[in-house]
Amino acid sequence: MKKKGLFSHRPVTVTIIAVMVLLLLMLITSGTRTVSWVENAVGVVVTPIQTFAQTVSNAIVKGVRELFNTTDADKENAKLKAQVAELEVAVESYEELRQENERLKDLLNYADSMDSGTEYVTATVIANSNSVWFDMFTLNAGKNSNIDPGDPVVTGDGLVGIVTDVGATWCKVRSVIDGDTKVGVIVERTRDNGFVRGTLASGSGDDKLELYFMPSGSDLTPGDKIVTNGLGGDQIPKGIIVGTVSEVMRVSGTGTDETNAVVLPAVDFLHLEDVMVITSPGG
Amino acid sequence: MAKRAIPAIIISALICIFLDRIVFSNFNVLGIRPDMLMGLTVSFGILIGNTRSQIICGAIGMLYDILVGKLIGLNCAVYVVAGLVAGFFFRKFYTDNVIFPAVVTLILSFVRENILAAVVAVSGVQFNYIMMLFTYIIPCVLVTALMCVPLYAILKPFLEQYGKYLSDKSASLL
Repeated sequence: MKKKGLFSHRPVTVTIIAVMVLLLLMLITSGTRTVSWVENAVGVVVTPIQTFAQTVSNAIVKGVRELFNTTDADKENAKLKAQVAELEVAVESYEELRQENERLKDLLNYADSMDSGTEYVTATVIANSNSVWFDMFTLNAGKNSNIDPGDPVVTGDGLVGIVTDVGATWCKVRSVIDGDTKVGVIVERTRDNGFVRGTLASGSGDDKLELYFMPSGSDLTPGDKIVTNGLGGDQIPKGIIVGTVSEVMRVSGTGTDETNAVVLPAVDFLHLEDVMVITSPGG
Repeated sequence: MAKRAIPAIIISALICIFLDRIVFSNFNVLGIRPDMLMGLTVSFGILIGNTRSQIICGAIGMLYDILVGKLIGLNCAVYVVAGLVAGFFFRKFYTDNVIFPAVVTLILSFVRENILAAVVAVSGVQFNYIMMLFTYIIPCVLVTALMCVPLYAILKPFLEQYGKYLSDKSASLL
């Protein structure tokens, strides 16, 4: 009897065909493109579920963090608080609203400081990627809010990322700390232009950026503020804070892609909740 | 059989999505997170065969790609292949052994992380592979394999009989 070869197994053949189709799909979707109707529909259906799940999760995360941060006095206090549980729930809800109010106020203050005519949309992070290889996240606002691919995403602290894909009610954002992101920047003190790029440490709490392509003779010192220069060929307006120089590297040559300095991002990417998408830079 | 198995499949899939996308995104040490979907793919593959594992986990992988993926199809392809590999062991070993699924998960998870590293490298991102191997890949792979043990142990009572039923059914059709 003839022995069966590997490819005579139907599951193997079907898998190979499926993987080839998926590879083709990856190639097609790797460049700048419009989101397909299938992706759009999936996103529209899933966005409200994710928003709900994220809200519940944020409440759980906050509760657990508070639990780990409690001292003996806090624990004793918590026992007493149990007697007024109903009041506590009200206080919690007030606290949540206060924090949300603070975050939105920060965004509003930032919005006030932007050039007149700047249009923006506030949105909430509803999902993020689960690996250090990529740092992407999803917002609960999209084409219906006039968001387009390439729009910058900011918080009151600074630059968060760039919109890559847009659905009707959602959009995907590639964060500034993603290894694939490159942004044109300027050193605030010396006015030297360069670029920052992400590193593969996203989500680890050790987020950092690399400053490179600085002109020869540039004088960098730790603590220098790095802001966007509006020249990177992207739609990011000038003057958005990116981060602060934490370590200066001595490289053999300047004006190359060797890292000139390590920059700590201004934004806390581990606790990202509300952001602002700049849909139309003013000025 | 299907009465217990299908709700178990749906609930476990939803729990894994929640753990992957929400819980471990917030709770992790230095970015080291288990890949629950890989554990689920291997458990399904071993307990109910490759086809179901590939369809369910490939679909969830595609959902991940659409929601937060950079390349549409990358996760889907990885889990489809993982489902096929895990399915090779369907009804071929003693299902009470929880170490075997953990070892399969460990190997497949290691391959997955290396595929992602290769994709990142091809896209032009510079990184030190050896450093990533020891600080991220190996810890992640170990945590994933470790998490697969309770996941498999929980799923086994619900899916083992269903797997046997499916196997007998396909044998009777031949």
